[in-house]
Amino acid sequence: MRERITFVHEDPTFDPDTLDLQEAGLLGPQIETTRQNRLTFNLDELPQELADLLKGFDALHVRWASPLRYATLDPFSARLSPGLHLSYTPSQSHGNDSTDDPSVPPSFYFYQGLEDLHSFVASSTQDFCPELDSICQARIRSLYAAASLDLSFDAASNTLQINALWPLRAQTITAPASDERRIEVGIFVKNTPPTIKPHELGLAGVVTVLSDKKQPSPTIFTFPSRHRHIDAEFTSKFLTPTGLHPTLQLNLSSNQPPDNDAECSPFAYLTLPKAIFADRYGLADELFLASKNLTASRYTSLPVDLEAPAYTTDSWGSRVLLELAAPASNEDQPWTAEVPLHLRYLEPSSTGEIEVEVPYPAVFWACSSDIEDLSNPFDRVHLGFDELFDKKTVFWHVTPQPASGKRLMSPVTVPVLNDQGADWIGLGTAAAVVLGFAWVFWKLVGATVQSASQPSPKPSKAVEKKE
Amino acid sequence: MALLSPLLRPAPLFLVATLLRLVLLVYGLWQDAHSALKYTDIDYLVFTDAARFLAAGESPYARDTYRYTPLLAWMMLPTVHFAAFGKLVFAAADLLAGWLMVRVLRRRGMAETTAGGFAALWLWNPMVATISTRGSSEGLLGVLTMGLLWAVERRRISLAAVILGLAVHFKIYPFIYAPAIVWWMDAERLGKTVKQEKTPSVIESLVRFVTPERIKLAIISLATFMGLNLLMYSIYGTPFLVHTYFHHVSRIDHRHNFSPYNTLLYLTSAIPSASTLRIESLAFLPQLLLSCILIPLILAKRDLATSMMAQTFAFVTFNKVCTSQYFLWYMVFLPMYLPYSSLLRNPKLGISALLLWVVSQAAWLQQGYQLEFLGISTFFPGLWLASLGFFLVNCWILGIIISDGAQITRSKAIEEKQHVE
Repeated sequence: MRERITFVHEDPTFDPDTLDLQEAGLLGPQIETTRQNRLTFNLDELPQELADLLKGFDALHVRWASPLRYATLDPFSARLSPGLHLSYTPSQSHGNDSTDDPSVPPSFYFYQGLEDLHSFVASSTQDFCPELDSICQARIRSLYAAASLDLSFDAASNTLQINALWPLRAQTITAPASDERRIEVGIFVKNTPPTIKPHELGLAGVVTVLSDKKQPSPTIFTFPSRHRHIDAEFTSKFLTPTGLHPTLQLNLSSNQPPDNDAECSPFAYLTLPKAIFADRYGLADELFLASKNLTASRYTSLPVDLEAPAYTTDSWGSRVLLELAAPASNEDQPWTAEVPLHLRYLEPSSTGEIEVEVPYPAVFWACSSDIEDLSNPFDRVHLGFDELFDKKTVFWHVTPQPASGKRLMSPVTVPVLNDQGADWIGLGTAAAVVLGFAWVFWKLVGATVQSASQPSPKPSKAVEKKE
Repeated sequence: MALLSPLLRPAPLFLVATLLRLVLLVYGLWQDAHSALKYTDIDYLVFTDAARFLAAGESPYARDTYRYTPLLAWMMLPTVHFAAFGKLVFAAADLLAGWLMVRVLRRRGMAETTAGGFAALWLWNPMVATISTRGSSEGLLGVLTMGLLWAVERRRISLAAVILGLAVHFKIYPFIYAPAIVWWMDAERLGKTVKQEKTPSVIESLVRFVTPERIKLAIISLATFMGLNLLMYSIYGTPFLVHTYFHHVSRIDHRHNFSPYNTLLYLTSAIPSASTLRIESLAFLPQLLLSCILIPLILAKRDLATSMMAQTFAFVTFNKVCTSQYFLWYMVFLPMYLPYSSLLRNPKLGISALLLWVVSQAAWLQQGYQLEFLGISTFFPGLWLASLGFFLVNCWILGIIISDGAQITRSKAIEEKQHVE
C-alpha cells in the first residue's frame, strides 16, 4: 500500500521552510490550496472478500462528484456531473455469456444522484477502521469536505487506486505518518518555465517521503496533461415554463477556444437520470440544431426508450454527448446553447408535482493534439466522455457555476397525476363508460324496435319521428 | 352552393383538391428548409428512417418506434433519394379515396355536382390535406376503407376480400368491417332470388347464411392477411410480430390522449392497487360489442356505409387510446353518411353536434396545452373531465348516427319513389 498526498496552491508567499517534519508526520501552515490523497493497493493487500470481488472485473470505476460548487486548480481540472457514477467491464475469464463480438468486452454504466458521502463515511468507519483508531476515523471523516472521490480498479495493473480531491480552500497542510506504508507528500505551485511546451503543465515545489525523515527537497517538473482548466464559466438551468418538454439552457461566459493552434470544439456531456431524456432522432435536423447553438449529437447511450414512463423503465437513465456551436467571432462574448429534453411520466403524487434534479453536464472544449501520450501522475481516464474521443484529445474544462444557490443541480418540476383523485377516477370513468354505452345501446334498441314495427316504408311517419 | 356547383364537377373538384395538396406540400418543404419548427410529421421521419435502414439491407424495425407493417417502409423506399415521395403517395391516396367516394355516391343515383359537394368534404378538407402532406400514413387507411366499400357495393367480392385482408394487415382495426360486410352480402342482395314461402327453421337459416360468396370473402381475406403476415414474418422474424401487433396488446397508453380511459390507465399503470374497479381491463367489451356485433347487425343491411361509419366511430370513441389522427378513420365515411343524416336535414341538430364536438375537443386541448407546455398538473380533474366530456359527446353523436342509419332504407325508398313520380 502506498499513499501520495499532493497539495497544489497559488500562494506565492508560501515558504517551504515553515514545514515541520515530525515523528507524527508533516505539519505546515494553513494556506489556500487544493489537496489530493491517493491510496494505491495491490490486490494481495486488500481484504480477501474485496480482492475476490475485484477479480470479477477487468475494470471497475466508482466515482462520486459533489453537487456543491467547488474551485480547483490544474492539474485537478477534470470535472464530472455531480452524483455517483459506476462503470465496469466484467472479467472475460469470469464466464459471462456475452454473445456479442468477443473482441470488444461489454462495459456497463450506472448513475445515481448522491448528495454527499455520509453513508459511505458511516459504513467505512465501521468496516475499515479498528474500533479505537481515531486517526483512521478522522481521515475517513475528512471526506465530508471532499469534492470528489474515485475508486478505480484495473485488471491490467492489478491495483486498486483511491483518489480523493479537496477543493481550493483554506486548509492546514498536514500529513500524518504511518509505519504501515510509504507516504509521499508534495506541495506545489504552478510554474511556467520558458522551455515549457504548449501542451504541458509545470509545477514547482517540494517533495518528501515521510518515513525518510529528511527535510523536503525542492522539485520542478513539467508534464503533458489531458485535462486542463480554461478561464471560463457556465451555468445550466431549465427555461420556464418547462412543461413536459423542458429545454436545458447552458450559459457560457466565453466563446473563445482555449488553443488557437489546434482544432477545438465545445461539448456538453450530459448524464440524465431516467426521468428525463434526449430524443436522438429529434437532434438530427441541422436547422433545428443550429437554432439551439448545437452542432450535433455525437453519442447517446443505448437503449433509450422514447415513450415509456419512468416507473416501467429499467435502465438508470442515459448519457449524451452534444457538440455545441459557439458563435464564431474573434470578440470574446458570452453565449448560450439549448438542449431540448423530454420528461417521462412519473408516478402520481399527493401534490400533483414531483421535483426532479438534473446534474450539471460536464462542459469542455475538446482540442486535437499530436501528443501520443497525454498521461501524467495526476491523470484521470475512463470518465465516460474521454472514451468517446481520440486518445490524443485534450479536454479544457469550463467551470460550472450555480444558476442560484451553491448547488450544481438543475431542478425541474414534473407535473404528475394528483393521486387524491384516485377513487374518483376509477368510479367516474366507469360511470361515464356505462352511461355512454347505455345511451348507444338504447339507440340501437330503438332502431330495432322501429324497424320491427315498420316493416314497410311509411314516409309520413318517418317525418313525424324527427320532430 | 349554386355558386360553387361549377367547381364541384369532377375535373375542377379534383384540380382544386390536387392544388390544395401541392401548395401545402411545397409550403411544407419551404418551412422545413427555413424554420427550426418543422411542418413534417414526426411519424414521417420514422417511416423514412425505416426506409433508409431497409435500403441499407437492414430491418425497418432497427428504427425505434417503427410500429407498422414493413409494406409501408417498402413503399417509402424511394424517399431515400426523393424525400417528399411518401407525402405524394399519401396525398394521391387522399385523392383516390375521394374519387371512390364520388363513384359510390353516383351509383346511388346522386347528381354529379351533389356527389362532388359531399366528396369535397373530404377532398377539400384542410385537416385531411394537412395530415397527408405532413406525411402521416392515415390517408392510406382512408383509401383502403373506401376501396373496400366501393368493391363491396360493386359486388366485386374477391377484390373486397383482398382489400380487407390488406387493410387489417396494415392497421388491424378494419377487421371490424368484416362482420358488417358478411352480414350485408346475403343472397337477395347479391341478386339471387330466394323463394321464401314460410318462416325458415334455424338450421335452414344457418345453411342459407353460408353462401358461396361469404365463404369466398372469408377465405380470400384470411389468405391475404395471413399470406402477408407469413411473408413478413419469414423476412423480418419476431420483431415484425412484436412491433406490428403485440405492441398494441402490451402497450400501457399512459400518456394523455382523448380516450376516456387515459387517466385511469396512467393511474393503474403506476399504482396497480389504486383502483378497485378494473374497468380498463374490460374496455374491449363495450368497444367490440358495439363495433363488431350490435352496429353491423342492426345497420349493415340498411346501409353499409353508415354502418361502417358508426362502427368506426364506436371503435375510436371506446378505444383505450385515441388521438386526433384516429378521427380521420371515420371522417372518410362522412360524405357517404351525411346525405341521409338528420344532422343535415335538421341544421339545428347538425350545428349543435358540430359545436359540441369542437368545443369539447377544444376544452381537452386547452387542458392538454396547460399540461404539455406550461407544466401545470391538469391530469385531475381538468383533463380527466375533459376526456369524459368529449367521450359523452361522441356517444351522443354515435346515437344520432345509429338512429339515422335505422331510417335510411325508408329515406332511400322515399327518394326512389319520388324518382318514379
